[in-house]
Amino acid sequence: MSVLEVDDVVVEFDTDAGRITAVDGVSLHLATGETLGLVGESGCGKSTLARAIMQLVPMQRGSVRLEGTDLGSLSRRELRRMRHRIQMVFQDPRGSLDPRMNVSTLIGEPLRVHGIGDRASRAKAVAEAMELVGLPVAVADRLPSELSGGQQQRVGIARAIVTDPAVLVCDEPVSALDVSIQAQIINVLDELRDELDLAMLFIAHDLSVVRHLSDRVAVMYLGQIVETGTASEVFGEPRHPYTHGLISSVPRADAESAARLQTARRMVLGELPSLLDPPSGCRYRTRCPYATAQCAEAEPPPEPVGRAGGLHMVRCHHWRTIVSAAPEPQESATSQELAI
Amino acid sequence: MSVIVAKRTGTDPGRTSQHRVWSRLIEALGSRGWILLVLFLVLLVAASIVPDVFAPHDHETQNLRARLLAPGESSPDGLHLLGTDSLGRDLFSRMVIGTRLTMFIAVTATLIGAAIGVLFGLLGGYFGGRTDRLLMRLGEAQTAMPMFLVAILLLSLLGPSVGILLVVLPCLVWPIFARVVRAEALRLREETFIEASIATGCSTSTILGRHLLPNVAPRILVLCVVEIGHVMLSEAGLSFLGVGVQPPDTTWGLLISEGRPLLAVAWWLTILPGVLLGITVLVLNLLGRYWEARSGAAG
Repeated sequence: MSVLEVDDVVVEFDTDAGRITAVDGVSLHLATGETLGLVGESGCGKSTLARAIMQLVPMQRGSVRLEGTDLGSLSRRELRRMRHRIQMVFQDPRGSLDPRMNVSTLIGEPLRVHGIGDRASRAKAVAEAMELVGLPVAVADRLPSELSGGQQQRVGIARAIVTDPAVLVCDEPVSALDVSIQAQIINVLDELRDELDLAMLFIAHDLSVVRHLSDRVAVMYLGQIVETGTASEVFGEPRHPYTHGLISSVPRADAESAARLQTARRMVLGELPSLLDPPSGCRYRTRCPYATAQCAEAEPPPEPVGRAGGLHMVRCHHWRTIVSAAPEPQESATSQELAI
Repeated sequence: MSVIVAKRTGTDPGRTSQHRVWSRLIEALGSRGWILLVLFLVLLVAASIVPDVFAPHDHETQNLRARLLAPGESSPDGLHLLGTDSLGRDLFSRMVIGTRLTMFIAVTATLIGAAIGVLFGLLGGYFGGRTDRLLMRLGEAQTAMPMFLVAILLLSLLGPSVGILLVVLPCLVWPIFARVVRAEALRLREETFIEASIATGCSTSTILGRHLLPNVAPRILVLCVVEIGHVMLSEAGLSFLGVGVQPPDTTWGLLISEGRPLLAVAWWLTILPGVLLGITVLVLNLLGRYWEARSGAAG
């Protein structure tokens, strides 16, 4: 059973230059104990989707159901009361902590505002959460500015799990941290997920991190999910040319000429088209080496790939002709290029 | 918006040169100078709590044979450090006694004004939109009105009393608090930790009271110190005009007022309370600006 169901969510923003659609009809679901990795370039709408799921930005269309309750239909007060079931870890560990609250106050705040337990049981829950995320007791009285980046993010995670939520939304929780610290934080999340039976939406642009954590993966491009499936399907047999591009700098599909592959590489690493004026038809066609006239005319519908009843879905007119190939084992290089 | 731009570009030469004077003064204080300032304020507070310790004479005792003694002269009662008034009362003792009401009115009125201004500033800055426009227009209307004249009108209609001063004086300062707090709240509400508080499930009152308020508190404290001085001046002005504090109560402003007719024969009755008032306002201003400069450099 899905603990989180996101259906056809559309988020639009008014900017000075005009209206942009940051999230364009995204649907996804999460089961208890499951982790969905959401990958895509900066600016593709990942963080906006996370904020829409958290009901922090208004949705133009669609619904978010948490444990069967449509969050969009709730009053402000009802929504506030539901929030302890869905919590979020933010990208900027320092910025997401009130600079004038100490660590134990910060971690205890969610319990306090939801009226969970009395003073003594809250103190106990805070101590447990600190232990779970690997924070030493000694930092309980410190301010966020007195902590290292890794410790700050541990506080952020402790805040998010202290109310024992059903769903944890992690918005690039490690991208602001040193590489050496990233692995520690990933491990903390990995352990917590198993221990607390969390459904986790893990957003990142670093594929190696997503691969390590995720059961399923969704690839996002310009506000849409272009490919989704189990981690082994998406990473092992990517069908969408964009996924190819993300996983391997050299897609081996239809390896006709070296020049064409060079083009493919350059295009994937090229600029994201403007959300103000998204390409007609398939959104990826402006950077896709396989684009044809059909791609400009019609938007490709999500199509199931492989076994009937499977989860692997792709949005591409030509996925059948693009022969899938296992990517070369160059994860670190790939992720670095993506980060640029 | 245009106001902000004008301030940033610093097109107002009066403001900048004034600014330079303040920063020179703060520089002259050095790293330890503020201790002297605090010491002065501690003395004032002590004088308002236990005036008898500081006053050498009883402030109400009249001695017609010791009328209008110049500073430093003595009567049979002893030395009159700052001279005596037309009834032979010791000026220094009267200034010490006057400290209590002067401080009480200035501090209370500032705190009331700060409370109103902080509340309006937080609400306007956090919610923005219509709430913000309404509250800020209210503040501007208040600032645009010649409050001193309104105060005089009110006080002459209702009769002068300390109670009405505590209504009128906060009206002079709340828009200043509202403006500063609003600007801070506008900046802070864009911070991730406010978004994180919403995501956590904090109510609006929790966000305003537990997140925004503590983060603007240092600015408010600094502003309070500066504004106490300004309120003190305003109270002195009203008392000088005869619509503020009434005898037998006394404040520094009232002392100045009482001395004015005798300025030609007994300068000290006007000048000395005036000097004390001036020094106090300067000290409060300097201290406030000093702390502001320090915290600005640290943050």
